[in-house]
Amino acid sequence: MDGGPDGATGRTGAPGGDSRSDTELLAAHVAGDPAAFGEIIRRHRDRLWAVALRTLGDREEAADAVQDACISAFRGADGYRGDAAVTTWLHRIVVNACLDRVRRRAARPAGPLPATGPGEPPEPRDALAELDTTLAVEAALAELPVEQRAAIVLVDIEGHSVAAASAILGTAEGTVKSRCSRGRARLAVLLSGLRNPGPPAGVETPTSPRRGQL
Amino acid sequence: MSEPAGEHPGIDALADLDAGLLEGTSAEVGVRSHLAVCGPCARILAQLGATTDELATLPALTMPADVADRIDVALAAEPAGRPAAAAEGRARVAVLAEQRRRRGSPRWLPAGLAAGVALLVAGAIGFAVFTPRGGSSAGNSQTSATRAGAAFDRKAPKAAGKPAVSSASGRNYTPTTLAAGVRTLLGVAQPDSSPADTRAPSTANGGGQVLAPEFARLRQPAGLAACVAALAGQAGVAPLAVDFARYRGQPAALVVLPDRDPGRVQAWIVGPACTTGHRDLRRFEYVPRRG
Repeated sequence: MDGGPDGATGRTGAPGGDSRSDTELLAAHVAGDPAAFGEIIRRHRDRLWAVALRTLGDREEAADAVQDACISAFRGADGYRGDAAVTTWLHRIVVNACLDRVRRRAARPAGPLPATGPGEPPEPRDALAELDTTLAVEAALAELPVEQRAAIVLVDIEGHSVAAASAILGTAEGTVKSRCSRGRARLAVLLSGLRNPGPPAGVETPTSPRRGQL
Repeated sequence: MSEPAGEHPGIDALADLDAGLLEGTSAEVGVRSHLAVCGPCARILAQLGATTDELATLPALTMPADVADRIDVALAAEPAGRPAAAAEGRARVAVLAEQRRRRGSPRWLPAGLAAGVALLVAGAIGFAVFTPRGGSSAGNSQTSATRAGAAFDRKAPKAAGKPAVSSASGRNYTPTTLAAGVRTLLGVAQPDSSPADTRAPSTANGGGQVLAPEFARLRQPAGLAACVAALAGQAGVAPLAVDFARYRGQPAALVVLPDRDPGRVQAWIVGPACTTGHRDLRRFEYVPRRG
């Protein structure tokens, strides 16, 4: 696909890449630098992609969500107040784009997950065991309510701190911890066939909704 | 194995403990003392830890090249100039009208932005909002601003122009068939098409298909204009084609816009919520005019 008009895709002249900070780049973008925003995206797109793909479970939807989010961020850059890191701000826009999509398709049943691994073509390899585990995790993630899934993706998979995740999700840290806790419990059951000797309400049920949407 | 002390706390409570949510609570004491003597519960806790470990060791992902390219081209399609200058919605005009009411002519606006917004607003309202009128009474200015806001709301739809092609094909576009579908749509362009064509029976998926009711707003000129402005990042763009159809099985609207590059067009797939400030975007891609 056409990579776009020269310059607009942000090729920088500096051989080592752009040395400006994210905040400087965003300010440059708002001031009219045509290459600055593309550089920000290039720096962080892998992590944004990972969050979108793991939250949505569908490659095309994830691509559409990230594209939509990037357009929103590009246009709304003058709304960035500097109270959070630029990456936090970007993640927030991407996560919101993903949550919007999930809630919109809540009416129709979840389709089967893509047969390949997350965004990668299937490869014959001796790491089949790893692939099987990955598929199982992706399938299990799809079983979670999206709020729990987003918390798990940010904290447990992508390694954001609870503080960073709460800034991204726009909720209190305690809420993030609760969503992680419930999500981990569900995943543990799904991934290990865990049998819980405790009260039956603790396992594969909707205890979470009874406590209010987590 | 000794008899566990008290009731098993359940996996949720164990997960809460692990997450630090029970810290300092009375429940914490009970759960910890139970864990000290209950093998099965300790194993559950260990399994929770193993699950978290498994999540942490999932492979790091790389954005595929085709997705990265799509983002690059979408950003390249943005109107040139400062992002703040892409006056996309009513909100910006309302803010400017309010500030003008308070300050008189907006001297703080750079000339280019003022000109661009004046054009946008003047085109919609039909009078020059930014004529310096520092001496006008507060009452008049306020009325003007209020009228300006209301008039903009009412008249903005006419600023967009109707699409050259209006269709309700019901065709199911997919990522692989979108480009060809867009060219087909443009190939049947009839300059005399009227909005009434949107009620024409669908073709591709069999006749008599019921148009998705949630798209009623987009089928009206005002709703379509607001959506087109949100997609283009500016008002006054006339779509080349609009097709009420499906994307990956779901009801959607395809909006084809012209591009700066005359050799290609922009294909936007949107949902029913596409309006000022919210694209409800499903997909964007460039389509070369020739296959």
